[in-house]
Formats: sequence, C-alpha cells, structure tokens
Amino acid sequence: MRAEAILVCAVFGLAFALPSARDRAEAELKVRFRQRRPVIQRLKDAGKLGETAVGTLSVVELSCLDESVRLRGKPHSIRDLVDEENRDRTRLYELIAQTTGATAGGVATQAALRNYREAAPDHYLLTRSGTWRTKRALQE
Amino acid sequence: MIRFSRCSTSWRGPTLGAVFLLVLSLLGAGTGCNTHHVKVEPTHHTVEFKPIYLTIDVNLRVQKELDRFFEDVEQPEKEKSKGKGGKS
Repeated sequence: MRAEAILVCAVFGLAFALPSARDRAEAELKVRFRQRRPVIQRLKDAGKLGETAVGTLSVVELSCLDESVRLRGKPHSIRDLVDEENRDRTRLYELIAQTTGATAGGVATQAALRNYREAAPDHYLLTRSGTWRTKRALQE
Repeated sequence: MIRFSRCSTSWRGPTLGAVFLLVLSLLGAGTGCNTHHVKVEPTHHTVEFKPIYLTIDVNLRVQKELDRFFEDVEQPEKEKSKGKGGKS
C-alpha cells in the first residue's frame, strides 16, 4: 500500500517536473529562431528579405536566392535559410493554434500583423497586391 | 345506355373522399400562405455578434502568445541596443 502511494506520488511529481512536449518543442524553436535572427536582420537591412502578409519570410529579389550566408558557423544559401525559417514559423503557428483555439492560418495572419508593426522603416513588406514596398513608403 | 342514365340520376353530391381532399388542399394552401409571411430576421442579430467577440478574444490571445514567444527571441538584441544607447 505504501509502495503504491510512493509510486503514485513519483508519477505525479515527474509529470509536473518534466517539461511537456509542447514546452520542449517551443524551447527548441526559440534556439533556432535566435540563431537565425541576426542573419535575417542583416539581410532585411540590406533589402534582400522581407515579410509577407501571410506571416512568412521571403526574398525580395529572386536573384539573391543562391547567395551564401554564414549560419551556425557554416555556409548556407539564402534559399535554405528562408525555407528553414518558414518551416519553423509554420510549426510555431501550429503550436500557438493548439493553445489558443485559433487556426494555424489565423495565427499566421496575426504574426504577419506583428511583423508589419515591428518592421524597421526601411524593411520591405509584401502587400496583398503582390508588390514589395518599404514600411516607410506604406506609411506615407 | 341504361346504366349510364342510372348513374347520372343517382349522383348524390360529393363523396367523403372528395370532401377530405378539398379540406386538405385548402389547409395546404393556407399553410403555404403563412410560411411566406413568417420571417425570422431578429435572430440574425444575436447570431452575428457572438463570433466577432470570440474572434477578437482569440486574436488577442494569439498576439499575447506571439509577443511572449518573440520577447525571448528578441531579448538579446534589445539588450544590446539598450547598451548602445536605445532603440533606433
């Protein structure tokens, strides 16, 4: 009887002590986002990357897709960087959708609004009509 | 010929079945007229507003979650810019 009680306590203790699968997934995503962020910011400052209205990152000019950038000490193409970022964003939107009761698409739209709000004046944003404009130009 | 004349002379008004059918058709016509008049417009108001409030509530929660997540991601950068003398 006592052994059973100890076992039940241990199981409950572990359940509360161990981070949930969601927390672990979120922590992993944070690490990857943090690693990519300086590179992405530099490319945004250079006018090569911009934010879309559906919460994804995209290249402003297709010609720079195969340019090389250093990420985690290794050379990567901008194409790979953008793909990796958008994969993680999709995963994040799904995670947030699970906890808030929204759809992943709805989370993506809200993320796009946040990206537009947080963008620097000279960063490029893709309008719904499909043209790239800087935030400054959109505000004028 | 004889039968025909007998039939025509022995007609004693509408049968019970015919009366029943007539009543039914009148009732049907009446019901049809009534359905044209009944419109449930007022219910539209209550149905329309609820989802809007729910959507706003969900969007606020989504925005909070996004802010909470990206706060950690953007933290080192913001601290760095504070150290340099504030955000541009």
